[in-house]
Amino acid sequence: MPTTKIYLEDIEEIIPINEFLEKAPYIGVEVEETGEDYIRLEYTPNRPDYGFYTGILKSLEGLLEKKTGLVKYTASEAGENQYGIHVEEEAINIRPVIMGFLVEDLSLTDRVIEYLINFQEDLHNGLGRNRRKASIGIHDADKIKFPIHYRAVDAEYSFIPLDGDREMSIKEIITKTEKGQKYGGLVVGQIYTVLEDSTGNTLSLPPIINSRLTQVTENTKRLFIDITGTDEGVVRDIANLLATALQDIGGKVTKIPSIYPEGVRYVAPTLTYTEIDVSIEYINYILGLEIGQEEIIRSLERMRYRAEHRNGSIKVTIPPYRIDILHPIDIVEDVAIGMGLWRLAPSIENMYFSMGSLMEETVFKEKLSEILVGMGLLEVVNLTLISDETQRTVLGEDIESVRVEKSKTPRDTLRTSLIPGLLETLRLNNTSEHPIKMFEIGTVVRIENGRPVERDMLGIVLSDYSINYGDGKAVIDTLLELLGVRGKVRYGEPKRYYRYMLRGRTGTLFAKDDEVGIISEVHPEILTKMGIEFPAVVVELDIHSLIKLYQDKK
Amino acid sequence: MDEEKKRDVRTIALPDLAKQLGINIDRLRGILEELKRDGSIKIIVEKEEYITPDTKLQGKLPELEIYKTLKEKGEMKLQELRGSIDLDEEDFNAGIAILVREGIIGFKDGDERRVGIKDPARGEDLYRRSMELRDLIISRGSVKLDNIPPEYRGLITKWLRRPNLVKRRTTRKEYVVLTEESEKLLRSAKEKLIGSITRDMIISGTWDIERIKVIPPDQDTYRIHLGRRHPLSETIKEVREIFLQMGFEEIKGPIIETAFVNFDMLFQPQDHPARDMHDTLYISKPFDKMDPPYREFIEQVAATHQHGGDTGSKGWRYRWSLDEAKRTLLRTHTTAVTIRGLYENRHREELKLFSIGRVYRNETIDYKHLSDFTQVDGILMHRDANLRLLMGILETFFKKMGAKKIRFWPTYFPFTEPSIQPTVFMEEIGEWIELGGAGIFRPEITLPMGIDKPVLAWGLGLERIIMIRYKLSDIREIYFNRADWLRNRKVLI
Repeated sequence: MPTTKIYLEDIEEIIPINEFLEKAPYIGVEVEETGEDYIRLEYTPNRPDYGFYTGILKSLEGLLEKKTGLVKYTASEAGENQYGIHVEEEAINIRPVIMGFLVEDLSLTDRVIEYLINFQEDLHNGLGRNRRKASIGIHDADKIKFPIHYRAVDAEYSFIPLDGDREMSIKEIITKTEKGQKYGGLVVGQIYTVLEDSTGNTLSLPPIINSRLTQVTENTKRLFIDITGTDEGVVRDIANLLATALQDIGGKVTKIPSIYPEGVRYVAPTLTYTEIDVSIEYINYILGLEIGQEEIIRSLERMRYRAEHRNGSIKVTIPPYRIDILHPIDIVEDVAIGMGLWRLAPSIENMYFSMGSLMEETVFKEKLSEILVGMGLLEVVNLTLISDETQRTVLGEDIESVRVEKSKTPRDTLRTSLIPGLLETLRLNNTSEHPIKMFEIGTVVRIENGRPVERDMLGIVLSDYSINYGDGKAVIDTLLELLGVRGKVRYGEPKRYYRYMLRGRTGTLFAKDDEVGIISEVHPEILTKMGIEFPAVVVELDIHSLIKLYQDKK
Repeated sequence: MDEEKKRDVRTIALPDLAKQLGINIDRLRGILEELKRDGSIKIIVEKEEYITPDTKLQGKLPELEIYKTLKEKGEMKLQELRGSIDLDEEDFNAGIAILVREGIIGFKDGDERRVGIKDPARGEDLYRRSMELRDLIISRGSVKLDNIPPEYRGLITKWLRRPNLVKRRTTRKEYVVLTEESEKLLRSAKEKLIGSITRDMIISGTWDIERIKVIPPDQDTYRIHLGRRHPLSETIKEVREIFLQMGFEEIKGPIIETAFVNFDMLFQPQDHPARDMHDTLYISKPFDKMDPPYREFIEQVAATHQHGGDTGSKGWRYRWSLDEAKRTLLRTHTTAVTIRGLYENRHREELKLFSIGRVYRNETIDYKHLSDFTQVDGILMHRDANLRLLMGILETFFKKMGAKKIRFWPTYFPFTEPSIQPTVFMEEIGEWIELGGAGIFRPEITLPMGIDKPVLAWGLGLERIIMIRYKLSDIREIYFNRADWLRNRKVLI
């Protein structure tokens, strides 16, 4: 989850700290870290506006009824000739969307710059999907001679990148600088896009890096912000989020048109307020309440909407930074948050009556477990992901299994048998008091007829200072006897020997011609390889075959 | 010492006493322990040394062989002597050395090459004593050092120094000092002390309550190793029971799932970060793609993602890809199972389903994280379902699981709206903790299925609860299966 750092001083101007800390969870924001002069808050990704501190403060001011209703955002229009962004045809094929705007009258303290950079990063990572869908360039507008040109260039093109001390070619930037290595791959092919001002100075190489020329400092008075990307909607949303945030701290926004070959395609930010109708009945139906229009309106105004009654519905005006509203249901949730979730009394009055039921296999597995526990076996539970190496050590080099991509752990394959895991468990219990008698009921995934098949198995391991095949068979014979299916199963030679099986001490259970299970002493070589100090017998049975045997009996 | 004991009838070895009393030695030890404690009986512990034959004693003693040969053939050259005796060099030399040291043989006139008997009397004596001692030890197998007659004492000391000839073994023997009084005590103790009532006593009617050995109520005992269920299974059973009480139906689904079911049906956009390989475990080739189930439904899911379809939603406004939906993965939540259940039962008027199973995330395994763990998910579809009912269900559920208090906070999940985060107060740790997540399925999920009733959904991981209950600080402990823990962990009801 993303986080926002806010300096206490900026909170205190608006809300006492204690009240802030107490109320933050009521808007879905959690305190992650408390510093000497700041706090760090975790917010949910549906509210990217919380990535800038005013976003959180606006919500809390509303909830505490210090300020309610809509915040009005405006922007002046810039002349096409004066400030336009001219888009070259070839640039459209590479990173098709560009929007930009100006912000004036800002006092850019260190703190504001820090907020802005953090916001930019959150937007890059979240909505921008690591700059793929959209990326942001923030520039000192006074270093720029408008209008701006969005151009396609090749890798030989050069300029001085941010934090650089000399002119570098794009080729150099993407191979030698940190940002270049990280984001260079987002541009496919050998052609890149750059922003240049009217004198040919480079402003940025989106989505990789800005130029040093337009670097923002405390002395910056005006900002030019560009947003480029592959997704028009996301670029527009980000423009609105940045413009509203900067207006929250006193900036004056001027829209800039993006002039494509066919004419003006975008003017950003749109700062569009949208309207949505939500019926009072729907709100009450979903929340389980019977509240009237007044309460709903009040609640939504606390959530910083404008809300008005209109023919049994509430007409809700959504501010441009609320990009998370997709459907009336999103407004319903905000009614509940605006009221305070604590005011909704939990109730099971509306729970309808029905009979509960368990799956047949659950009942069967429980019965198996009961019998095995009665035999003195301890139940164990292993992870279903196992390292391929362990699996091959126990079962054989040619074992086929389902593997996963790019696992962060050595457990990179689904177990095809419970036995490797049980032997790992046995090793971990070398120093435990013996005998060790354990069972596991779990799923394995085998490849059968070229397809992965999930099977529920019963695995057993018995181990003591001395133990043999007969001890395993005794458990199985007893179990089969109790299930009344002993007569339906015969013992024979396995069709295939796995590595752990000791010849002369292995038996396969057949029901007709189907293999339904095995019993085997573990080969001492495998015990040694696994680091197990005690002899062991293992058993593995297919549970659904057992169920079938049991049912056929009836 | 031995003589002394023979005279003193009041001292008797433990096995002999056991035989006399007609009880087995372990029982006797038990009785003596009791009597010893109050000082009414005395036990002497004595160490005894025994001589037993070693490998070489069975063969020829070289000094005797040499003496015999010299006695029969008279004086001869050393070289000649050597040739006429079947001994290896080492033994031969050792034998010569012994006889020379004992003064029995000698080299003639400084001529070292001729050797003959010097003192026949001593020779005869050594020969006789050696043969007798050898027979004694071999025939008895083990002779108490004290019982070896004095004339052999010197010889045995020498033999003990020689390699592999004889061995000395020390044993510990216990004797009971019997006085008239202690003998009486013993007899009555034997009579009285019935450790366990036997079948024979019951049948023959020889049991006598008066004679039952008193076992102190706080007697030390041993730990019984029992078969037991795993704590995870116990927790699963408990959760199942709660769902059953609330009238829910259990279902299961595949572990290997398509992205379509796991994400797309749940309205999670295809570029959502949770779908990244960084968080989700995708299946490798050749099983990396699978046809999604519910083919007839694919188009509606696609439309809803792209522009909201007929749901009244704006949708995610991007180009939905069937290829992406076909990717095979390990399910990341059991909601993949309940969403299948919901779709398959979409025509029903009402529905209560739950599923418990393993889910997977691409995590680095550490004390807080596992790459496979256990989740439970429940859904309820009904025309009168609402957020307060969801809260009511969660409250009931968590209180049955042992929470004292429960509160709800706003949160965000991609597939529910409203979404709520339950926090519960767990007395075990005296803290509020976040447990699971809940909400009402978004209309973008249910409307395309033709469901216009609210569908409540919630889920939680079970490991967290187990950690709290058993005060584990490392989640991996649950899957280590240490017999010690599994056997001895406390019962939690």
